[in-house]
Formats: sequence, structure tokens, C-alpha cells
Amino acid sequence: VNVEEVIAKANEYYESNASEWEFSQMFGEEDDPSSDSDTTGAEDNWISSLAFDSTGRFLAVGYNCGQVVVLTQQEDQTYQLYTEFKSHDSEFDFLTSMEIEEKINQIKWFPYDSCIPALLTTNDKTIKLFKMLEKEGAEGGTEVVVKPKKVFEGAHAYNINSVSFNSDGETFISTDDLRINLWNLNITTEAFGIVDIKPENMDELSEVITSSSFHPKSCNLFVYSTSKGMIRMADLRNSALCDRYAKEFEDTESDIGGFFQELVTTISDVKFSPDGNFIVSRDYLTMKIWDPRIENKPLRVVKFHDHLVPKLCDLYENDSIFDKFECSWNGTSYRLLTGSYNNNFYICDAFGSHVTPMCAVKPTAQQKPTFPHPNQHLEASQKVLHTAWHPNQDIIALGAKDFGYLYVRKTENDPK
Amino acid sequence: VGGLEHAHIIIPLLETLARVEETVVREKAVESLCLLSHQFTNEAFEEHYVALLKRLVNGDWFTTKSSACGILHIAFSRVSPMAQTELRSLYKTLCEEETPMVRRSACANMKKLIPHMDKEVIKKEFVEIFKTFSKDEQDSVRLLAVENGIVIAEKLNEEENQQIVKPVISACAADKSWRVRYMVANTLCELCSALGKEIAQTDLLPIFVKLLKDSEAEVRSASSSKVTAIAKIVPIELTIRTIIPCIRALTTDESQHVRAALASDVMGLAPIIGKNHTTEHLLDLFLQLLKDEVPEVRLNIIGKLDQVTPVLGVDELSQHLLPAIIELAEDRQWRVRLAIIEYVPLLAQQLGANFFNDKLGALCMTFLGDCVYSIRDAATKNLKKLTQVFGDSWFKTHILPKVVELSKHNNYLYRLTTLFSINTLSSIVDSDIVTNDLLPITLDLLNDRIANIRLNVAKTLRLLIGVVDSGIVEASIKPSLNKLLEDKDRDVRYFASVALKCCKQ
Repeated sequence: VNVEEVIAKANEYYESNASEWEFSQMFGEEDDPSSDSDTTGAEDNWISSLAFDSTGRFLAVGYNCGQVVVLTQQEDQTYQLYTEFKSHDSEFDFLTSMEIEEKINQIKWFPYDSCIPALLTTNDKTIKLFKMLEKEGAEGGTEVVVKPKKVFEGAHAYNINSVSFNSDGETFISTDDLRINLWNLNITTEAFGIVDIKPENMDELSEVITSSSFHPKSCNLFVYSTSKGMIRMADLRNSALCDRYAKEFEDTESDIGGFFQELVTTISDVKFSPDGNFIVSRDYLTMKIWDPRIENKPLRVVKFHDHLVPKLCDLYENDSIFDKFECSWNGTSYRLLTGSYNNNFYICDAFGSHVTPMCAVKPTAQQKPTFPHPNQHLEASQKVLHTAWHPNQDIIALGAKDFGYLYVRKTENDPK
Repeated sequence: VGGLEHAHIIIPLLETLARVEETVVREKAVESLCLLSHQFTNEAFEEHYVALLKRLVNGDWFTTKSSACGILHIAFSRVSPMAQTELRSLYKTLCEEETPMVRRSACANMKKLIPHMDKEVIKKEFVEIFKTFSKDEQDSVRLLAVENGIVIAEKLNEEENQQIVKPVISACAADKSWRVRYMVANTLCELCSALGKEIAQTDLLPIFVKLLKDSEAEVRSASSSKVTAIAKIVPIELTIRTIIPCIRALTTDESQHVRAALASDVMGLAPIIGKNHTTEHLLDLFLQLLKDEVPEVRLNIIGKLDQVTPVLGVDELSQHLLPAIIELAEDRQWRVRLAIIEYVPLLAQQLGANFFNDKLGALCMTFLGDCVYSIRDAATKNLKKLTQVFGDSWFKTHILPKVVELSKHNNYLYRLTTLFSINTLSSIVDSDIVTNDLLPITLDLLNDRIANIRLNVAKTLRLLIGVVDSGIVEASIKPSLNKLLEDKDRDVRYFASVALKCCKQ
């Protein structure tokens, strides 16, 4: 992969595809405003995960209450309700006397198009495979039935943060704070532990795994990120245990220094680009794009959170500094999307310098589309943590508390 | 369904099932289709079956294409050559599918297709496909290619294998993915027999040696467990020259699983290379594994001793073995001790009564007094097996005195063990011994101060009733049981009454 060629092609793309976006849809139910914000039911309707399937035909939305809603794309490109189901119920772990939340931490679709779409959903401890079947309904129309086909449980002592399908269509990995397991979709009784960073003495614990992802095409490569800002790439071919990673990526230069340095380097999301040539990592203040051949510094550092640096103290006080933001590539591997506070989100040219700040809000008749005000008051409770980008169209989905937003790129102004 | 002409009605139903998402359902539908194929006349079969296959292969979804891979092989034996050509080209398109799932299914089913082809067709069409699969980008497809190599090799002659199959296998043995190399290691014996003796010695043996030194422990483990099987195929000097040096290195492998795999297989080399070579080259390796820090390794050696004793002889072996056995018998982990007990009867048989008495007899009695119940339990069963091996008089001379001693032990658990031993022994020793020796021991415990003992005396007596003369029952057992009927403990009274009921029957 010739990086210069990529940058050149990317810039051509940016020229002819301006990053201008407009609101398309909003979905969601508002929490009951009369309920006390301290009660557990208040955050039930908050979105906790978003995922488009490989064709873009479906958009799955996971919620804190364990519900999953699947929307489907209509002819006019908007998304309407297709089906919904309760994916996980909360459980009580008798051994630790703790409740296992039903919150859906991540949803991933089976990577190949099938007449019966399948998806993996996971909460803190259990991963489930669901399949959606269309059947003839009672009145003659079609109804959608969602069936849990497989339950992968009992393999994680710590909380699961990600799942990722392998391009072989047969296996997937699930990742918790300290371990990564490799599963076969057809076998729920066994999993292989392939990464284990648990120290012999738990008192020495200083690093946890925060996210992981398989390469979209190479069946043997996956990356995982840690709370120390490290990204490790492992090769399943090398050995049965991937503790000895093949590569380790670390950015030692863009440090802000100071008390909060450690807290902001933790990586909240890491993934390969759809073309498999690059890796993006999202930490608290930036997104970094990595060339897999260069381990000691990122190819680019995309900044959009510099305005937060002076406010880190406040963000620490209200725990917002621990927020985990996701990021998403577009289908051509040229742009990146990530969320922020005040319901803001940013669409960045991965190989250019342009950053489009936007605000997720339903436009009213009087209001023009809003853009983040540089000096606006920081509203940390309004955050867009979850994002997803349609695999081949410029449609993006954003999750902000109980509401989901869909934005599309404006195309009428593109030079022909 | 109304006979042969109407069997075709079921096909659409089975076709629907073959399209279903669930792999298991698809496979069952395919199996039913296979069974059904015999119901058709040749023309009708060709018509329906081939049409079905075409529909599956040209379907939109990867699930139907995968299904097609699974049923192609049935068609071959039944259809005309023209149709066969068509089916082969359908198969080829499946092999070139983009989705890994279909390619994987096609590759996995190739070995079912090959037996139906004649050599020329294989050489002309399938060899290419086989080679392409062995270089597929998906690891899961490449590792299936190894097994296809075996099936193809069986159809070709040695010269052709030299040119066609051997290079592919060599490439797989050096694949970047350890899983592919593992497959080669795992199927090496079948590869040897399929490719022929010459290739086995010239090419597969060096591959085997390399796999024994592989960087991935799983591969070394798989190869280690094939040492004996490979040694059977190659001449002894080659084994000594090439394989044994590797084994030497493996005895100190960093992975305990590799050493354990080696330990459970390497003993088989002894009968193959004979006494002199074994003493010269292998004995010290056995001993090294026997002293391994991991119990499983040591146990695996002991478990295969029966292969070495005929070669080396009991005396030589026993002087080396004994310290190791005793050490394992005193291991901290009770499961290790348990495994030793389970080998004791076998060892007894091999080593003979004299050796046993000297060295192992005391050990067996110690087991009866182990702190772990499962060990005591296994020890009593062990006594029974030993008695079966060595006979009653041996039992009377060597074991009985110790059982008597145990019955007078301070700790009630050991007195209890005595009763359990009597329970198991009563069914195999001579009734004289039961009456004259075992019964008195039991009766002595009648007045034991622990209720649990008295309770078990009742249970033991119940068993003995079936073994001794009715006269004895009346004279000794019944009165004792009657005494227990008046015991102050309720459970003792209960079991006494149960035993008495047996008296009456």
C-alpha cells in the first residue's frame, strides 16, 4: 500500500464529495420526564450500541434495557422499524453477589449477506447469536421472527467490551478487560483463550483491554487496544496463544502531559478501515490513524477536542473523562465519524485536514442547522457515544442518550 | 409415497430443507436425499437430482451453495458421463466462490468426490483445484486441503504423487499458519501410507522431524504422539539416526503438554527397535520423563510400561521404576496417587508376586490409610484386583495380617476401611477364608464404640450372608445381628433389621 497514493486519492475524493450533512431522521422514546433521575429505570431507553449490517439494509440499535431494535432501509433511504426483540435479561451472579446488567454493549452483524440475517449481541457476560426470519403472518403479510440461535456464556470472568466476526464466517472473538476468547459459531461449549493479560498478582494490575477487532479480510489478524494507549496486533497463525503480539503501536509524542495524561490516553475504540489498510484508534481527545507497518507513531492525528483540554479538571470531577466514545469509518475508508459532548459529532477527513463539526438535534422550522459554537458551555451529559456509518452510502447513525439520529450527506452541491 | 415413480415429490421438500440456515438441518436433508437417490431409475434420477443441484448452485445465498457441496458426490455414481462433466463444472464454480463458507464446504467435500473419479479426470481437473485450495487465503480452507491430499494420493501412483501431491504437502508443512502444520502432523501416518514407502522415507520423514521441532507447542504435541506410528514405517537405523535425537530434545521441551504427549507414545518405540537399541538410546529418555516435575508426564510413562517390560525385562526396569512409583504414590495431589493405584494391578501382573511383595505391598496398605476417601476406596478395589492376580494363598499370607491390624487402628476411618475391604473381597476369595478369617474380623467390630462402624458391620454381615454356609449364618451372624437390633443407635438398628431380612430369604 502506497500511502502517498492513498492520500492523493483521498484528496480527490474530498474535492468531489463535500462533507456537508443534513438531518434525515430521529428515532427513540423519551424517558418518562416525571421519573426521578436517580431511579434505575431512567436510563433504560438510552442507546448503548449501533450497527449497520454489511449491506446497509439493516441498522441495529441496542439499549441499556437489553432491547434491540432493528430498522430497515426504505426506498427513500430512510429507516423504518423492521423488528425488535429483548436480547438479554439482567441476571444475578450469586458468586459475586452482583447484578449482571442487560445493557447491550455491542452488536455486530454476520459479515456476509444471507437470506436469514444474523447478528451477535453481547452484554457484560453473555454473547448471543440471533437470526431474523421472515414468515407469513397471520393476516397474510410478512412478519419478522427473531430467534436466539446460540448462547455463548460462561467464558468471561470480566466484563465483555467487544465482539468481532472473523472474515472466515465461522469464528469470532469476544473480549473482556483481561482476556480475548476465540469461538466457533457452531460450538457454544468451548472457546479458546488466545490473549490473557491478567498478571499473576492482581495487585500489579495496571492495564486492561478496552476494545478489539478482526481484520475485515485477513482471517489471521486482529487488533486490540488497552487503557494505556497501546494497540497490539496479533496473528493467529503464529501461535496458539497470541500473548506475544506481532506488533505494538504506541504514540509517545502527542502527550499533553500533566495529571490527566494517563486518563486521556486510554483508547475507547480501535478498528481496521474497511479496506483493511489502516487502523484507527479513538482516545479521549483525538483519533489516530495508523499505518500497520509503522509502530512508533501514527500516520495522522486528528484533533477535534482541543477545546476540552482546559476543562479536563471539570470533566474529571463529573467523571466524564472516563466516557468511551466510538468512531466509525466510511465505506471508502476516507472519512471518520466520532461523537462528542453537547450532542456534537465530528466528521473528519482521515487523510486531509478538514473536520466538519455538527450537532445532533432535530431541526425545527425556525432553527437553522446548528454547528457547535466554539465557546459554548460544555454540557457533558449530552453526549454522542455511539456512532455507525452505512457501509456504502453516506448515511450516518448517532446515539445520544435515548435518541438516535440519522444524517445524510448533501449531494446536490457536488461538482459533477 | 406410492412407490418409485412418485419419490420425486419428496425432493422439493428436501430441497427446501437443504436451503435452511441451520447447518444441522441442511446436513440431515442432504442425508435423506442420499438415501432417496436409490429409489429412482437412472433417467428420473438424473433429471431431478441434477436439476436440484443446479438450482442450489445458482441460488443467491451462500447457504444453498454450501448445501450443494455436500450432495454433489452422491450424483456422480449414478449419472451419465455427460451429466458428470456438467456436475464437475458446477463444483468448479463453487470452488471459486468469493464467500469463504462456500469454499470451505467445497474443500471439505472434495475427499468425498475424489473416490468417484477416475485417475485421468483427477489429474486433469482436480489437481488444479487441490493446489489452489492449498494456497487459499483463508486458513480454514488451507487446513482442509491436507486431507484432500491423502485421498488424491491414494488414487495416484508413486511417481505421480512425487510430482503432484508431495510438493503440496511439503508446502503445507511449512505453512505460516500453525493450524495447517498441525493438520500435517496429525495426519502424517495416513499421508505416509497414501504416498507410499519411498516418499514416506525420503520426504515425509524429514518433514516429521521438522514438525517435532516446530515453533508452536501444539504442533510439537501432535507430532510427538505419532512417533511410534512413524517408526513402524521407516527402517530402524533411520529411526535411531533421525527421530531419536529429536525425542531427546523433546524430553526437555518447555511445554508440559508436549512432554506429556511424548510420554504417552514414546514407549512404543521399544518393541520396534529391540532390546539393545532401547537400552542404549531410549532407557535414559524414559528415566528422564519418569522424573519430570509434572505428574501427568510421569504417569503417562508408567501407563505404557507394558510395552517396555517384555523388551527390557522386569529386573532392569524395576530398579529404575520403583523410586518413581513411590514418589508418585506419595504425591501431594490425590488424583496422582489415585492414578498410581489404578496402575498397581497392571504392574503387579508384569512384575510378579515377589517383586510386588517386597516393594509395593507396603505401599498398597498405606493407600488403605490415605487421608482422602477416594484413595481409600480405590485401594480396597485394588486389593480385590491384586487378589485376583496373585491368588488366595498370597492374600492370606501377605494381606490378611495387615487387614487384621487395620481393624484395630485407633482412627475409626481406618477401621471403616477394613469393613469396605471385606465387602469387596468377600465376593472373590474362597468361602473358607471368608468364614475363618474375614468373618471374625467383622464380628470383632461388633462392639465398636463408633455407631458408624457398627452400622457398617451390619451391612457387611448382610453381604457375608450370601457367601457363607447357612450353618454359620445361624450360629454366628444371626445372633450378632440380633444383638445389633437392640443397639442404642437408630440407624444401626435399621441396617441390622435389613440384614436379618436377608437371613430369612
